[in-house]
Amino acid sequence: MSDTLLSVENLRTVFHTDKETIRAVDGVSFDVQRGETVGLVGESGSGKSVTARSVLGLVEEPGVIEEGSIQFRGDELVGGNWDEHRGDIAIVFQDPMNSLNPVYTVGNQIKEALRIHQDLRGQEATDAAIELLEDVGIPDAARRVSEYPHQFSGGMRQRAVIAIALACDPDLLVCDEPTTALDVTIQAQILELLDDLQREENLGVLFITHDMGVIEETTDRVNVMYAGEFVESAPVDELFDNPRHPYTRGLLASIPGRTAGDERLPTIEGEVPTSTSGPTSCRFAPRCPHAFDDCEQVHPERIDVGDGTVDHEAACLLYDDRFEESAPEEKFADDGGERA
Amino acid sequence: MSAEPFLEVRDLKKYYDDGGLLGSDPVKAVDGVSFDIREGETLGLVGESGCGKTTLGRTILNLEKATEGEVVADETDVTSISGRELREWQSQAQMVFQDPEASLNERMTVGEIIREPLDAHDWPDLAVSVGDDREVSGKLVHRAEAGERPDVTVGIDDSVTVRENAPLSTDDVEVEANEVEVSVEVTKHASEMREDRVRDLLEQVGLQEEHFYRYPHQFSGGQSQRVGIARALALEPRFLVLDEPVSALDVSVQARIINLLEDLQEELGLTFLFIAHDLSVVRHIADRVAVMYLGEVMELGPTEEVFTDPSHPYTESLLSAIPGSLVETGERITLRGTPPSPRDPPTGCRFSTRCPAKIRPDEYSVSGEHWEALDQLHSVLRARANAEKSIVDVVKERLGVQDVSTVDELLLELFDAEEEADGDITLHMPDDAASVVYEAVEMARAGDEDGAATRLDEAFGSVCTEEHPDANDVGEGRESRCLRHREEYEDPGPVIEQRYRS
Repeated sequence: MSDTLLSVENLRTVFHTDKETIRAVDGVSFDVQRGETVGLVGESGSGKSVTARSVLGLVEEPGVIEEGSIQFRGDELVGGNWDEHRGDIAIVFQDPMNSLNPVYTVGNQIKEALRIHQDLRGQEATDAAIELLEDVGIPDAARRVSEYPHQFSGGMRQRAVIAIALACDPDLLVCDEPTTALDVTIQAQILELLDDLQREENLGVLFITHDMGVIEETTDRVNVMYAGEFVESAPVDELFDNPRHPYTRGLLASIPGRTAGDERLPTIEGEVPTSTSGPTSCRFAPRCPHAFDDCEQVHPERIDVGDGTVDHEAACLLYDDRFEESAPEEKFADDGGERA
Repeated sequence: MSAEPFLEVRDLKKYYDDGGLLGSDPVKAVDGVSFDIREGETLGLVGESGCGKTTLGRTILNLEKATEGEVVADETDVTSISGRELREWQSQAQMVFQDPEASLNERMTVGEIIREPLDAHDWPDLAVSVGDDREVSGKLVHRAEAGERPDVTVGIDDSVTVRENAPLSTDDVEVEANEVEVSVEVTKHASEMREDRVRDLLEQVGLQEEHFYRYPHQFSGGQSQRVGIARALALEPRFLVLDEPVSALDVSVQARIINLLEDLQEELGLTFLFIAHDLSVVRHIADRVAVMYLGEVMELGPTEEVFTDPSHPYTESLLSAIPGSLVETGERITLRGTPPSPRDPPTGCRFSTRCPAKIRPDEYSVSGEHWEALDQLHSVLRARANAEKSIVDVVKERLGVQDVSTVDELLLELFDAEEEADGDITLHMPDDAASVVYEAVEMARAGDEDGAATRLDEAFGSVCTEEHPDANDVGEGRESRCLRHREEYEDPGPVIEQRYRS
């Protein structure tokens, strides 16, 4: 029984600059079901945030969605239908101070959203705003509602931002690194809150972060993004227990502190490239420890790499039977990248 | 690694005073910190933002003037030195900053940035060691003091040897010696030596020679941080304070910088104070770790022991908050709220307002949930008492007009209480405890929030809110600042286990 909220098909978002056209998001597809949390993980510059902004129709000049489809409950959004679904999709950004207006009280900002999306005004709106602040765990909400953002601590500001997002009564919540600017104790509070809200409201959540630990804890399904493409997608446990793509393996291995000891951290050399033309090779090949000649010639398609019981896809020639080199397990055996 | 302390921090305090008209309380950023940093080790310093980690690092380097206490290195208290001595200390102890891009001057080339400390300190000042007690004279040189590593050694037969890695070779040194004096002339120009040094540094931190003439904006975050590290290493320091050096970097870049730091430490025999809020990074890189809260070190010990078996309730909560740790530990202890203001820290134990293992008074039989509600009520009242009041609020208070409703709402919200038809609120807790709450609420209604909080303190406070805990030795070179380590109380670990995980 699935209830698909969001369905993204072959999305390509590009930025036209004087010199070249940058393909920030290059052919990604994914679904978000009601009550499900889908994770998007990758390094800076991999295209995570542009994907989020594309979904909300917030891509600004010189960026443009060049190809693909984004459907919300079956309605096509690309082409300008966002206004109809304005209140159905809400976003929480990384830095709460940038998301709040410093010259209005927190209550006013929640009430603004309530007025626009739920047509509540006056005392009714104030009561609803207080209730929302209580829902997001701000103590003494009745008093706090008339305070300004600078009177809130970092964690409380992010709670206020979440309250504003909830004021639209959304079905889908997009979280773009919502806890990156916060301390680990506050991060734990916010993640717990998002988890509770999701369960209560049966929200679909698209969760973007670069932190593998946060991904492991919050999401049901994970997409690993690299240079505008999804290189691997799997249910969260499967991805962590059985990472297939060399990039995913590299990312997991380079997290410090997961294993005790003094040994050197395995690293991925080089930087995320900027894609300016259509894919003709594997974009990770220049940094890949297992690349072979064909990787420079052929763009890998996403293929099923699961054991038949799980939905696990990776875009890597190592798993493609057409190529002689494909015998990944042997290669990985001697690189010691296996997670302890 | 030897166990010799490189640096002894003793009861170090750093207060910031507003100096306002009313002579308000100072901000106690660092409040009585004592620990040793051992030669060649990495001491990790962790804690939430605002706990005083960075201020502590800066005060140790004498970038901030200490209010009280000592930092002893080589038998000198570096908090009280100035002039030549201070410059000498600052060339031995350097800092690497968090935001690599913001800490580099974008109008200078990378070469100039790394060279700047060399120029500022008139580098080099070569240490010349002579086998006997003859004087040393000449430009750019001084007589090596006892214990100082000599750059140039003049033997009794007036033979000259130059240290490996020194910025010059034996050909660049001319020595004229007589009975009482050794006159050393360095023929290589100082600026030439500095250029060579910068190129060596670039190579040492994994950058290319061609980066010398580039500007910071042409660099990625990881490369910028390498420049920051090269600059810190320029004067051949023995000690580095690394203030969140990898927090702004992606995980794969982060791993490379961590490896670089570890390599440099081994190669150059450096001692590190590694400040971070990311506990996984600290677990990987630090030999010992100090956990800071509101200006105090709560727990200190060898990293693995502290991570696998924390002694202090704060450490336990902090570790339990690491994302991904849930998979191992099961139930999470989520700390409520944020740390209190360092201007007005709680009396007694600093952590008592958020502590999951707080000692509770025996005379009230209140359920666990209600204890938490009481703690929360207390912190709300304190927050209200300390909040900046708008003019309207002040006038309302003067006139005795208070928002009565908000106090009631608070009770309903926190205690899951019921409102009777006549507006009275019934709390579902034993009468003796409930009557104290009513009393406090009455005071809060009358506008005396401070008094209300104090009333709650009097009744429900315990040794935790009254007594300031000392650092207890908990074995294996570990210490922990918690009253529960006293014999008459149960240890924090089992208490947390029982309250939150059973």
